[in-house]
Amino acid sequence: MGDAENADWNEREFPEGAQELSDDFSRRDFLKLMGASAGLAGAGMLGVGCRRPEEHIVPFGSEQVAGQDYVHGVPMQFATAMPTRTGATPLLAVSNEGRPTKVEGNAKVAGRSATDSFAQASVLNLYDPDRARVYTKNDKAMPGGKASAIDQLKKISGKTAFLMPASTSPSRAALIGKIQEKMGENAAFYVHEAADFGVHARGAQAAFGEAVTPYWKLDQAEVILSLDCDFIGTEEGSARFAADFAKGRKVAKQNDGMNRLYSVEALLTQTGANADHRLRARATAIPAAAAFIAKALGKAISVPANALSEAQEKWLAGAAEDLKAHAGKSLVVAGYRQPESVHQLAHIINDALGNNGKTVTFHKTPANEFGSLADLASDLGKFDQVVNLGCNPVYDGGTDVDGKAITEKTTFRLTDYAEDESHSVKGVNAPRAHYLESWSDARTDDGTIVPVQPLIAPLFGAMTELEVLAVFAAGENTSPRTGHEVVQSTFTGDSWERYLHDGFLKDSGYEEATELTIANADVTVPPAQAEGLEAVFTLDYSVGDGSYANNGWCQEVPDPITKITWDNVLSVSRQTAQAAGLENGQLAKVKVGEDEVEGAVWVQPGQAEGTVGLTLGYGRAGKLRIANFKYEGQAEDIPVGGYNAYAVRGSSAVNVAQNVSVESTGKAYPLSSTQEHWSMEGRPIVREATLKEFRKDADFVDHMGLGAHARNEGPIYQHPYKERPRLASDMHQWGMSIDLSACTGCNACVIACQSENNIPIVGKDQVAKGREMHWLRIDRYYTGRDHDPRASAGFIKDEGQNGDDEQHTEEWIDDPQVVNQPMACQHCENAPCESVCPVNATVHDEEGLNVMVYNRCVGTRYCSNNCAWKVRRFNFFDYNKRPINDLYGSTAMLKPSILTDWITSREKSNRPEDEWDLVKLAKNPDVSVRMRGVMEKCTYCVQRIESTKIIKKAAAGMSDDVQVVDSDGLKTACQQVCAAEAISFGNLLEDGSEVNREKANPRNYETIDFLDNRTRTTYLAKLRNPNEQMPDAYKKPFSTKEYKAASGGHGDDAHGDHEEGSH
Amino acid sequence: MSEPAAHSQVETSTPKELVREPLVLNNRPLGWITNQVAGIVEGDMPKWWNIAFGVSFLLMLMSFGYIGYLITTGVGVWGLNHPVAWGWAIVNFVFWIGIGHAGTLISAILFLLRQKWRTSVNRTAEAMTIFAVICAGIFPGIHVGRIWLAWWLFPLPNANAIWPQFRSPLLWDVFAVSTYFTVSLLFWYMGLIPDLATIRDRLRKNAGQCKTGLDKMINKLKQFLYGLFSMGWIGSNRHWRNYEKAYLLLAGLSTPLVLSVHSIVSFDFAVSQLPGWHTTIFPPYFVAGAVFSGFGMVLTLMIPMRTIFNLEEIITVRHLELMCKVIMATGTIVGYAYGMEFFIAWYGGNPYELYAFKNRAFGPYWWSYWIMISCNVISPQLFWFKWCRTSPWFIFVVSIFVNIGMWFERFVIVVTSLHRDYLPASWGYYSPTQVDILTFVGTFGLFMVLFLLFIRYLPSITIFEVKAVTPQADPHSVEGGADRVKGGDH
Amino acid sequence: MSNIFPKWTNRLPLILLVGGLVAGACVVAGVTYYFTPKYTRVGYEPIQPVAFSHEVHSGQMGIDCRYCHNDVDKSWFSNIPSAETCMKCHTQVLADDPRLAPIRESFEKNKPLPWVQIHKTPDYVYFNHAVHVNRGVSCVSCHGKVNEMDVVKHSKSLSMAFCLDCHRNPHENVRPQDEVFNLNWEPPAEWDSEREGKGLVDQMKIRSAESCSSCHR
Repeated sequence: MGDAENADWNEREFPEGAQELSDDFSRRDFLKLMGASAGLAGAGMLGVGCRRPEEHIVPFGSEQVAGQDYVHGVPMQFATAMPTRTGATPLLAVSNEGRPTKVEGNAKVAGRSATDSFAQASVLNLYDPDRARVYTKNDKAMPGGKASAIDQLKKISGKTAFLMPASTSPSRAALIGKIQEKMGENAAFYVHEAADFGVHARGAQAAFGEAVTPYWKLDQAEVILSLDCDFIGTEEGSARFAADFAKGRKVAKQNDGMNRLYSVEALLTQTGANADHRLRARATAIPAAAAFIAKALGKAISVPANALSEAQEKWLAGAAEDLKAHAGKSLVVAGYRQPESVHQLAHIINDALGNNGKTVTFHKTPANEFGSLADLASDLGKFDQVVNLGCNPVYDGGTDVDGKAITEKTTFRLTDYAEDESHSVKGVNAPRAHYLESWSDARTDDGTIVPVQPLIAPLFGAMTELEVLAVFAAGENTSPRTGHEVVQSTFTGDSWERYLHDGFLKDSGYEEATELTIANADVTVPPAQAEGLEAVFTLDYSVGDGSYANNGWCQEVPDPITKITWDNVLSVSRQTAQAAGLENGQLAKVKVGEDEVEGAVWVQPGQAEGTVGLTLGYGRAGKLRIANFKYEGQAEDIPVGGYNAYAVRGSSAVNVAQNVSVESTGKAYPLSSTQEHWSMEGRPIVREATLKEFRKDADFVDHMGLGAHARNEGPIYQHPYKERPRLASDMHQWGMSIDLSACTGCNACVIACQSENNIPIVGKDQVAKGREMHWLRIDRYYTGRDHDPRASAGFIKDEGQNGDDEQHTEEWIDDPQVVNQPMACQHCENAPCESVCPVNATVHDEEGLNVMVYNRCVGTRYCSNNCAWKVRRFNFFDYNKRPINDLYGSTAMLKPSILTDWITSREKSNRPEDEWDLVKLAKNPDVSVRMRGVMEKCTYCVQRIESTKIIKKAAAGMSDDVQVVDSDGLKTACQQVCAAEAISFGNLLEDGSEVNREKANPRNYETIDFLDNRTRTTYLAKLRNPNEQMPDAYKKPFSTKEYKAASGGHGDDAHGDHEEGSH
Repeated sequence: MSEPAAHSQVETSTPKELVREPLVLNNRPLGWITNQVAGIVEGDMPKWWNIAFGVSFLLMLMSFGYIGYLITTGVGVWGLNHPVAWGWAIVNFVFWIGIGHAGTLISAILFLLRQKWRTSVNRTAEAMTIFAVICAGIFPGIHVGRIWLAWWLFPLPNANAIWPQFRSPLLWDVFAVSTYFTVSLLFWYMGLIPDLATIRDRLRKNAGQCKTGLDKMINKLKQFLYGLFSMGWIGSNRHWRNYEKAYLLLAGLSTPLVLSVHSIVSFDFAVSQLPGWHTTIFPPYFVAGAVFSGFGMVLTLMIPMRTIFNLEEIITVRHLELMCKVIMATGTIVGYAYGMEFFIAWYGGNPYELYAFKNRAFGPYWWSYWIMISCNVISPQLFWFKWCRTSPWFIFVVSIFVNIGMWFERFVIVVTSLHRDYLPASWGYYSPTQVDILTFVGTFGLFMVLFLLFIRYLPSITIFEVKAVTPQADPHSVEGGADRVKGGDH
Repeated sequence: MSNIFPKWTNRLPLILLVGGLVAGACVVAGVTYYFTPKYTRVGYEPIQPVAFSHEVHSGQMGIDCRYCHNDVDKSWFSNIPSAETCMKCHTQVLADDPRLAPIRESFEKNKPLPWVQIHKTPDYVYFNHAVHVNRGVSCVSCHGKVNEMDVVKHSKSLSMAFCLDCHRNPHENVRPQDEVFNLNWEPPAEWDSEREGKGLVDQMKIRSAESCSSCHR
């Protein structure tokens, strides 16, 4: 474990945390010996031929070490929270043998066990092999580690600037107060975040003249208008928004209501992808759009001339009518990318509609009292030194901030990575503790105070910002308080134990501001850029602002819109690309003012004309092996890890920059996309209808697809229970239902699945080859209004690498509708994979699971070929045991030394020792780690099913109370994390179980049903709720039109065009 | 070599049209046939043989090297992906298995049908079968992810109390291919025994001519080995009677195998539910295709061989022509099958299947489809013209096309069906890597190494059977019949 | 023929036959020995750092299995007791016995003792103790009569076939829950596994699965 081995394992200030062994046994041995189930190591699978080597079981030295409640082999859960920019995600973190392996949302706090994808991925950050491991000064390791770093901190005197990431921690606020008291003028505090969400508060302040923050209640709104607000995606707190929004999308009965979403935006965002009506508009035209709505609602706002086209005005007028019709039950939301004026307008509109206090409330939040990074840059001369508590100004400071100068003045820095952009050469660099190894606290978006408690001692002896601030608060001669003490001293409730146990402090939310009135109705609307190109900067769906850039799960999860992994792109619309001479997949130079950067062009359906989308978070420098992933055989002159959009982002144009030029360089750039084909080709895979159609014909799904037309010829493959009736369990039959109407395509389930099931990442080149391992993927299709799949039918005009080189030139992609479909193993009853496996490695079990037995699999891949959904994943290489940029090196042939390594240490293969240890720590011990040559796939989280069953059985003893029911809390990882609650899973034999209720919904259908594979996973068809008065109204979703067109109008004859109610 | 004797002047009462073209030209004496064939084995090999062997051997080593790399590193060194989880390995497997079919067809079915012209080509064709099956057998073995556990495909008793899955076509393959290989090998070896004895005896006769001690030793060793493998054959009446009975039995046994092996290989595809694979026409279509490709390969090998070893009088143009006719017939069947697939895809009304076939012809892999069509359907049609099927070099070129076309047929079936199936979201593109390509190229090395060793050390034409179809062997022949034969060693 | 084949070749068939048989027998024996858990594991009886006798503690003194293996009914893992557990008695009994020195050292220095593992399933087998011992399956079914073993040894093969045997016929192995930790329990004379065993299986709704997912994940 390298440095970690030196760490003092016994030092622990938290009894609830990990259990450790004494010095003589490193954590590695501990896992090797006791965590017998930790890995399906090659040795286990290969070594049956030899007598077993002598192995040891090591008990704890004493029960004290173990901890009172500790039972080896039983995972424990601890309430904690992941701090975010504007709040915190309350979590229950799962600890296996003392190592946190998975986080779940804390339902006690948030009301749901959901999180976003970042919280899921954050576990991997803890075990990132590139994390800073040692304390350095003058680039030399400090032998004393944390203790000498504290000594160094004590020596700091004089004028000190503190540069900190945003935080809602009451403890930090308290410490800052103490420091200000103590140091007075000598201490100044600056807060920096690459993405500024403060505009919500500033907009409200501007509108109401009070320090309040809007708190949207999307579940209360029937009509929502988003003004470039990606509340499902990049807005902070998106999990709650997605949950609330999805509540209005789940229609079970014909007379159920459904919300309607209008979206005005420049880039195609997840919110736009879920909208019922979507208007493409330049980002700079959106203020005018807001003004237009306000004006349409009778407010005296002047709309800038020429900002909006006639068609756009018609659209907005239609939306305004609908809003008016739903006064008090509607909501207008403005996104963080839009200027204050748009937020102000949104409040004015909501006020005019009477929405304030109903669909949006306001919290009294403390005003921001700290300077920004730009302020620090200009004040820099006043200070003797800077203490940086985790910011990276050189990377994300933007073009106007001299990050280097700040770095040079930095005498102490907390850092995640040893050598990143803002690495301080002269000062002290201290490893920053991960939240799962820190004591802290935070406030959620409604202000509830939640504790952040560690599950493991800092792996590399890292420090937290509270510990650093505590040194300053304590002063020179007193010993600083520990993080634990700081947090406990800030705690104001009755029971500290209760607080830690539940993970929140009751009734600690922000005070609600009522009776707000518009204080300032006079809004100056900035003019739009009419000609030329403008740039829109956006946070990345996968890596955020770049803090997740070195997280393999985040890099490899496909962008929900583009489906691109490992890179960011310059997104442009089809026509803009043609006009600017840009080719899909070619490098182009973007010039913003004097600054320029090169990135790969991506023709993005649904993007506004004249807009270039630049995604932040990529192009990291420094020793970050994942962020700068370079694969074997990669061309030397191709940049790695995407482009750095911060390099052209100035403080004056943080979100939208005008007068931008883009010029193709003619160089091709390899992009790895997980979905190369955009169109559904008129196939009824995702079935859709409008709410109106659904009300006329609830069973519309049954009239689509071959299943509705074909005579049932009987299954190709025999039903296993028919063959062996004895096999079927009368206790449990598992099934899943996925509501496509609720699914927003947010990717949280994909990462949750990856975290739960030990799914490896494979690297950019492997993704390009189509070898990504995600058991659960989200298919995203674009459908076009007048697109006849027969016209293009996916036939290719040239034979390019991905075979789809022409789709981005087709006209129908300009204004598409988007559908998402989470796709994992369907657990067919007549499973095609099962009957073709020659070794019985994939079989049906008693409870309806299509089981994949890794240790039996020889890897013929026949099952994958025969799977209609192509959801099986094959380990083409030893992704777990090999570094992903060394997959092609043969173990035995090219590196003879590796052969001897393999014999002596078969477990780790050619993975560096330090890396391997961390890799192992992150694994879920309940799931086998698959070796190369083995097929894998979704198992419905069989480990969770089995453990729930076992708990129930063990508790039942001699009684027969062993049937697992919904109330036993069994959830699959994807289900648990889904904010929209689109996924239901459970026992089909339990009357009234959630999954049975969902499957009884008339929208329930099987994909590719005519094969008669009888999938246990079924889908609820997607509903759209268009407004017939809108200029872009549609009677059928585009996909349904495509389906009708592709089936040659047959559907109309035989089963009715339900529009006319003829059926 | 003597000039053709002037027998043709002999007048006969038979109308000229009805005289069958003799299977051995120029009315060679029987001893000449033995000399001609056994001479190849006894003489020193020409320089080209050494060169060809060297090159083939290196290719073979290359292939083995790549296989080693594959096994130690992972299947990822190939171009496979999701959705195309089977690529060149399976294509090559089906290709090589198909090649083998001509041998068994010629040696068994034509034997049962009393087609005498088979005699001069059956030995080589059978050898080709065995070597092709060896090449084929490599691929299903190495294509699995964990080759060291491939023995789980065999039904062996074990402590895990699990058996292979007998419903899987891959398991049927294991049985079909191994049976086919065993029977083919036995059949081939059976036929070799009398000729091995001939060579053994000739070696003894020639022992006196050995000059150096080394030559003597080599001669002795050869005598020993040929003697061992001829299993004490002395050509007695009893031997011959047993031999013929056994040969007939094996021929009867092999005949259904010709049909079964490739039918079962086709089940790998037909039993699936993938559009483009799930087709009931596959078994006959695959068998016809296999025979087609097998004859293509036989011709590819035979045409140069007959020229190099001056065997034009034993492997005559008529032989070639007959084989061309088989190619034409099977090529037409294959063409019909291609057409039928499209028809059924349209007639069946399943849009997924229709798309799969449209995609074959016009999708990203259109080129492979049209290579297949031109090589397999169009080029054999040239054999309607007599000139085309009687010009050896022309036949040679077409036979190469047939080989290429049939490889592409398997590529089209395997890859184009997989790369775009039900869900457009999972569509992908597959291209082979260097390892894919060179492993396959290397198997030609293996094939050629075996084949070159075969012509070097074994009589590549069935001496005794060819003799039996000469006019001299026919007591009723106008050419004189038995009086020219002294019994002796045939 | 005589001048081709030397005389010894007459015996060649015999030599081949005998040689083949011997080689075949060796291969079969080798595979059976090295590949079957029954032979590789049963009888494994390693020397432990402390000569702890289950016969004395469990057999003669009648200490319940759960006194030391106290997590066996809570976890998949049946824990090995820490030295502290030993010292609960051995501060009084045999407090100075030199054989117990390692235990005392372990207790005092908080240094774990490396016991040699005897029973182990492969990494890909997810055996769970809790669900078995709470549902009428006794320790003795898999571990044998540990209470009669002075030195513990591997007594059952624990092969997959062994597990399946029981999972296919649970009624032959279940017993009343209160007899699970009684290693000496013998079914009473009137016990008929077809009746009593099946009765228990029905009563407890035991659905011992034979499919892969019950053990492999």
